[in-house]
Amino acid sequence: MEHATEKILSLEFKEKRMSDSEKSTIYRTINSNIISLLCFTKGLDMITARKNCEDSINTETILCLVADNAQSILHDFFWLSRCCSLATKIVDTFNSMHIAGILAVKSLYVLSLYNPEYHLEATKIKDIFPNEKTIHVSQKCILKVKYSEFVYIVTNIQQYWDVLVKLDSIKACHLLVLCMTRFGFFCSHQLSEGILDDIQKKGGYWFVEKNICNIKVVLSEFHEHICLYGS
Amino acid sequence: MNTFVCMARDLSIHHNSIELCYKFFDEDESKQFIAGEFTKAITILPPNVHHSIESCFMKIQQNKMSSFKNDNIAALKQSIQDNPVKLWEFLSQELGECNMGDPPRKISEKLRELLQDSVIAISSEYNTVNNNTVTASCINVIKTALEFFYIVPSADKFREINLMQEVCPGQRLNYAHDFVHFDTGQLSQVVYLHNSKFKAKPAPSCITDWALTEVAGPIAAFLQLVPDLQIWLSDSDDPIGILSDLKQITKPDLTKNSQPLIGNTTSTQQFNQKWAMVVNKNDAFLVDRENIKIYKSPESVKFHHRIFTLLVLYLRKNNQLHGICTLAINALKINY
Repeated sequence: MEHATEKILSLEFKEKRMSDSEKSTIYRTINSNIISLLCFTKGLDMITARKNCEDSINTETILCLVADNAQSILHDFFWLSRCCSLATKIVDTFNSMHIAGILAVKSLYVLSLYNPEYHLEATKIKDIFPNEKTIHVSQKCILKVKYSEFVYIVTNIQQYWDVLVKLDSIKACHLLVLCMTRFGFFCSHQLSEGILDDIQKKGGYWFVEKNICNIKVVLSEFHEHICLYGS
Repeated sequence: MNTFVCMARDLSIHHNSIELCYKFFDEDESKQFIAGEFTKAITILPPNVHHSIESCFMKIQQNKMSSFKNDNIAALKQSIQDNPVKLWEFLSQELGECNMGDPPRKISEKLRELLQDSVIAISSEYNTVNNNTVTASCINVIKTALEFFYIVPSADKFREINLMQEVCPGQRLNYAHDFVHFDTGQLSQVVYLHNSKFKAKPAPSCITDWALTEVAGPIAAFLQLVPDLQIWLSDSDDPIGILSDLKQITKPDLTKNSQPLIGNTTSTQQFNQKWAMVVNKNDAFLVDRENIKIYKSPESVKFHHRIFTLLVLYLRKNNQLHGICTLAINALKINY
């Protein structure tokens, strides 16, 4: 968790700036690695998955690759990809920032899944900010909430973000990582309507299904998109 | 995704910002400092003096200063108090006689204080790019410069900055993506979408109307005086200069061209490319876009609005303090 927090807060860009085609190749590789790891855990509970991971050299190697790339993806997501321009290039889907973001949250989710040091499962909002009762909108662990609850939590945190950041930026970052990790979970699985119970009436399950889970299509469009965009 | 990216940016900007130091001189300390400046000015060396001669001279000057009797300093301090024309003459030498003009027949107490503050503001100690300490004197100079002519005309900018501070992280970007065909790049659309009962605050008409907790008033007035400082939204493509963008995109591009349309960026006015101000719901930050350094104001500033510390730093880093001192002195001269 602290590692992810540092990555989010850091403004140091150690890596060489990648070209768009390099970026596209790396994104594809990372996405394949994440899918492999997710396939490996399918049908298993977390403890068994971790146990199996320790036993499997191949899985551990892939996990290390995902972890190594996490910082550069987070930097891409927050600072290096353009969030405003070409928002409508791929109509109703994503721009380069969204794609980097989806990979970032999926990476966080996979890392939290396999890394016992994260200890995220038991964290509730009130564990992080016990005195800020205005944001205690859910008593559940953040990593176990349904989609509607998740939207409610994020909207609430968004409203009080300025207060939380001034109060304790490390804790605020911790909270953000948890929310991103949970969103990574929604992006990584084909989930039932019971979990993806969207309250925003934007098409409910189908909205999430269409916009989040179909990353392969988006990635192929992304390659074309960044070629058009240029450096 | 939009919300996450904006929340992370706000967090990172706040966390990585360097807090400026604030120093308050009382009357006695001010005079002591000014006396020192006067002494230095008398013994100043001409340019292009050999380094060894200069260092030798500096040693002599240090010895002279250390043996300078307290009585002499007290006498100099008293003469600054009794004869403010001395301050005027000193500043005329530093700022240029044609800029300062003739001294008024009577120098009021407020003008005397401003002259003292100007001496401190343009001193070699406080007018260097490497010094991040802002004194109350420097703030008083800017405040006086803004006081008379720049508050009322800044009403539009005041409303714009207020709207920027009304928007939560991600709301503008979400609006731009969800309602792309309705988005004209105006923040009021975003604000009223989320809060239809929003009421804009009345624009200030004088310096006392500035709320101490809000940054919009002083920044808006400052932008009337120094229009080359650009305000960037923290959810724009490149708020802190990592991508070396020169223009800020305020509305998504609907065309398939890779170059942003001029109409979608802020106006074609020439802005300072090295420095910018980032305003979000948290606060306002001064950004050195060239070196990716972010500065924030101290939590509290005695007797003044804390945002002035950033404005002083901007002027100092861009070597504009001399001009502002001249403007402040002349503004006070004609208004009293």
